[in-house]
Amino acid sequence: MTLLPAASYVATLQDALAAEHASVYAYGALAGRLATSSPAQERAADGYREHLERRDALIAQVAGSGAVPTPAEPAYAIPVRITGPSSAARVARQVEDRCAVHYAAVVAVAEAKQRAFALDAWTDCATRLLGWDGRATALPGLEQP
Amino acid sequence: MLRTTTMMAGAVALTLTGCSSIESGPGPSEETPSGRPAENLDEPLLRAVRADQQRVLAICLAVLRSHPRLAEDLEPVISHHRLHVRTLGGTTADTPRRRTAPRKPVAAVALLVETESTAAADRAKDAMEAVSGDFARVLGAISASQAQHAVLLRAVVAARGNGAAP
Repeated sequence: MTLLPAASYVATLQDALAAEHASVYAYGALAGRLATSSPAQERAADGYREHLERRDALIAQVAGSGAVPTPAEPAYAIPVRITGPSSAARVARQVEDRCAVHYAAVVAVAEAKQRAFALDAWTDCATRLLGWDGRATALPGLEQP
Repeated sequence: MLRTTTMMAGAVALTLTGCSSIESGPGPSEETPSGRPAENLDEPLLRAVRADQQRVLAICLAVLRSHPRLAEDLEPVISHHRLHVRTLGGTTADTPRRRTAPRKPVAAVALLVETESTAAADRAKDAMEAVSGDFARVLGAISASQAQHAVLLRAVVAARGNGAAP
């Protein structure tokens, strides 16, 4: 008999998945509104691709646990009006801060051998943040953004 | 700034509480299948990580002593490392004093890039060994922080290597 993963672990994966759905949407919106081929647009396109990969991996993990993956909302409210690289950076920093918090939550409840994915994704959020003029902090993902 | 500092203090207090229970034995936290509290099982790992983070801090301090003009780049990094050591239940007073650092500033910062990258990877590995999920989370945060340091310091090397900075 194979034991299903603990419910709280799957719940944190679902929360991270919901955050990744929102991240994909936000980065897609940024890439669409920034000047074509500008460095900020290229960075947004990279962010879109990287979050899309994480989202798909989370969908597979949740489905593999026997649960139904949280679907994406039809649309998400973006709290900042995107008028250029500076407002885009504010949105991107929020995205990265939020995802880092969710991956930290996954690490806290995962079995030791299940932590690699979330640790990797967490570090990616922390370093991608710097590309959007984010500040390095002592404990990224544990501090309130 | 005040807002950030206050919230930071909150986060640290939280993790310090978690770590003090690692030191002081059975607490209200998770039990392992063997019946022993996870924190006790993590004690050897905690000690090793604390010593390694003190070593990383010592290397940064040695580079700053040899290259005071790097202060602007190094002081935030050093302040994070002090917090890492304290979060792990250590003190920064007993940080081993390391005397030497590369004489050229670019080489000294390159040494730090390597040190931070290695420490980031090591803490991530440690996070996969920890029995306690809370301890794993602290290790993950320290790993992510050091990955950030590596990115920032790599940019310093690139700028100085290209002659773009003094």
